[in-house]
Amino acid sequence: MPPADDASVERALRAFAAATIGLAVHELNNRLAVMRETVGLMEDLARAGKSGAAGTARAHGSLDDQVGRALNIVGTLARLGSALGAAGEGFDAGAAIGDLLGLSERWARQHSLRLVADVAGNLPRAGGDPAYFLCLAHRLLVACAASQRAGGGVLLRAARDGAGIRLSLHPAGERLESAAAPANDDELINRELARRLGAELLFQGGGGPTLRLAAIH
Amino acid sequence: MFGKKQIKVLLVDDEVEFVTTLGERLRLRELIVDTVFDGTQALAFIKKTEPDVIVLDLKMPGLHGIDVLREIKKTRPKIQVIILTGHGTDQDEAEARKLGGFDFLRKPAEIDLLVRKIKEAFQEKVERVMSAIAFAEGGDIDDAKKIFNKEE
Repeated sequence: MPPADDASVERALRAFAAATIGLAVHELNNRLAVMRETVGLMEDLARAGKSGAAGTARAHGSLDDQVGRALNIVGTLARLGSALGAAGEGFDAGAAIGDLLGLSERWARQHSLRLVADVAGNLPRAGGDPAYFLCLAHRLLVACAASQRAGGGVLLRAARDGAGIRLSLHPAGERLESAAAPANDDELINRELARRLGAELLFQGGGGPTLRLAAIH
Repeated sequence: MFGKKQIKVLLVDDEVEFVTTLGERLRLRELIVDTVFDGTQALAFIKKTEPDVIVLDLKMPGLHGIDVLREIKKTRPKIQVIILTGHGTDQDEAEARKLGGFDFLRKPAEIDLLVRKIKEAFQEKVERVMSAIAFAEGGDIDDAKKIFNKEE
């Protein structure tokens, strides 16, 4: 099979960036909307002479929680921006998996799916371009999760594997009967992303895909 | 006839904190508010009771808001629907209006704007029902049905 061309890989990277930024903006909008309504409710209650200490404390707690969640999204977006601008400098695989889950969480919730990570401590720094890693891992994760019925999900397991890192995706739940096998083009793009990342992509019968990343020592 | 009627609103959004807080604010403005957290719950709710206006999010677990709007307009055409979304595209807006959505607002929306839109939606519903009654009383049942169901 011929490798995917540069234009296809470029389109995949753009689609990944667009999808994740879109979801992050949606999530930020929701946090802002909750903050606006919370502040508005405090004002409404004060105007109506109905505000009390308990209600005010609850509102402050809610605002604090929303600000924390918004800051998490902003932090993830900042790291995504750095990853997209980096050029094969290597990356912290554990943090990248955390970001990947954060970025995919809303998508999963909308599809009634669960994403869980099991990352063994002290992973070595992975080699390669983090943009290729995030794009490829996101594509694999979404494809794996989308093949599950609502209520199912995917477990991402990451651990040292000899001198490298092994990231495996395990579908959990009931497979959709209508789930299609990956299209040839998608598979070619995934293989090309793995090649550019310097990683090995393996598909084992029945389970999800496994990615073997090189580590920087 | 409808002058003193309190407007019944159903809020549909998967952001529990948002919908709960917004609901409290609307109640303080003398609206009767119920809340549900996805499209399936909304469709189950309108089988039992009929709100005047539904404020509907688009991106929710399970059914997309556009599909919920389509079903509402098929089964309960009198209910007015205002879309309130954090991530609506121009295409979503065009589709919502084509399906009979009353208005399309983006989060976070000013409470005064939302309340005004709810009141306008309710007023339009009242006028439509009264026109339909007038046509029906004049014996023009087909036109009355068209007005009632908001058909072009």
